[in-house]
Amino acid sequence: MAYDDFGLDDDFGADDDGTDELGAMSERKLARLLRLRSKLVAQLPLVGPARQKAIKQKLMQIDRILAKSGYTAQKQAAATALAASGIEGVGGLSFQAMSPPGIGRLVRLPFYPVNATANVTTAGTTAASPTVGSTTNPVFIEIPATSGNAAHILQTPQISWATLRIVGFEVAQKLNCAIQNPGPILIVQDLKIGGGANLFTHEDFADADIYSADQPEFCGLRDYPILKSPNTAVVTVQMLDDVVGESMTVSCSLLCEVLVDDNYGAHIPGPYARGGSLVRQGGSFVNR
Amino acid sequence: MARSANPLLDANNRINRAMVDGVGGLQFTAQAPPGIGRLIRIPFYVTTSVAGFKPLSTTPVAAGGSGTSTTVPAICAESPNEAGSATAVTGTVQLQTPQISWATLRIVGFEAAVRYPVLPNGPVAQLCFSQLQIGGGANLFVHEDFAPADIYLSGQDSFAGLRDYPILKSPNVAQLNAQVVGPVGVTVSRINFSASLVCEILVDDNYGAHIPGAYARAGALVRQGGSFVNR
Repeated sequence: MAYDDFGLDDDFGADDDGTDELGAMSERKLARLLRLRSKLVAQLPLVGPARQKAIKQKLMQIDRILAKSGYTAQKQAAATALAASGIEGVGGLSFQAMSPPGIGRLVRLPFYPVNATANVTTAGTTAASPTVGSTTNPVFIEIPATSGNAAHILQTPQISWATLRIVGFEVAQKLNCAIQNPGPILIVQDLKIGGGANLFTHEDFADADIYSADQPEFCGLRDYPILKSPNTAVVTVQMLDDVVGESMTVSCSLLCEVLVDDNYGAHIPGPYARGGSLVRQGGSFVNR
Repeated sequence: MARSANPLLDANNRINRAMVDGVGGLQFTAQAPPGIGRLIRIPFYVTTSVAGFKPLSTTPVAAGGSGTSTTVPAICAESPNEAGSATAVTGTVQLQTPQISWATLRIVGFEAAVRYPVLPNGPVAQLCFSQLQIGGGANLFVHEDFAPADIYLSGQDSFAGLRDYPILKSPNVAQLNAQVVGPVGVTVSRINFSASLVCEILVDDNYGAHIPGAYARAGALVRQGGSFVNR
């Protein structure tokens, strides 16, 4: 099919009255020219050398007309981008779907109630041994005899098979309280890796709600350190209440990126844990 | 004429590829950690003794009375009647953050975790906040008087805004007023709560200087004029 098979005349309608009162090319004529141009360009690789030469001449002629009318490639690109971004329904409305984070990203590493603490039920608790720790199940239940329990330590296991980067901390808590009471509060402090500096910004206790798994966003930490065996992470928790007789079921986790996995290999961490976003200048704990 | 890359066609193709041909248009998102030193929380502690406000402890909270703590931010707020008030409000308690000597912070938000009872034993008492100030400076809340704590609740999809994102540097601390509104002459359910500043760590003595989030960078902190703005 030749370019003139489109039924357009040779001067591309230049002799039509396709101009407005200021002599500029009308939008309709411009659109017609651009349509023809794109059809000719599409034909180029499909026709023989003689026809190609003719098409190229026509294209040059169209480009000259477009240039004379003040219409440039930049204007066209801008107009198309604008149309695509909001006017013609292609863009402007952005569809989002919640997605998995990617291999080895945002993994949760549970803390275990390793120390025996009075009035704290763990997976190891029996009637004969009410006060024992657990290194196998992270869930513990605070059932205080008064309105709170003593503070106690939770600890992650040694992860010998991977090198992790810690990027967050998360708490899941379920309350048992009288319906007319506000319920107990879990407080946390001193999140440390291998006896290092506190990763929490609060030197004393803070409400564990700021690290709640139900929050829409993650709370920040002072640093995103590496967790590598034999190092482990520890955190101190305590349940407090204003009345007696209420309880709380709790589990805590570290949020980590798996950097190197002995079995599944090295992964690319999320953008928040890559070199470009881990910029730290100065600081007594920063290796230069 | 040699067939060369035409900017007009290239632009069209790029846009088509990006928007129309199935590459873009649908974006996949995953909730991510904010990055080092971003969106950290600094808790407020009860530092003044006001009837009806007591930090939680292993001892049950007795009706009336007051208490302070510089280590436990979990606070029990009583209804006005239980706190000994003859009116519908308790006294105004001042909460305060500790001095953060090891870092320079930029305050970017404020949030509160408030526990109301599931089924209150009477009209619901309401916690209210006012006068969020840094080092005795201007109020960062847009409300000059009290506002319900609900607008600053944690767990919301978005953070409530502040009038400014000031620097918090030791020895300055942040201060906040709290008050409970409740029925007169009737003791109703208590409220357990905690309040925190949302901050960006700009410089940490131990972990160094960080790049703050986009909302706390110079380009997003443009302020022109204003009597509090240094020119």
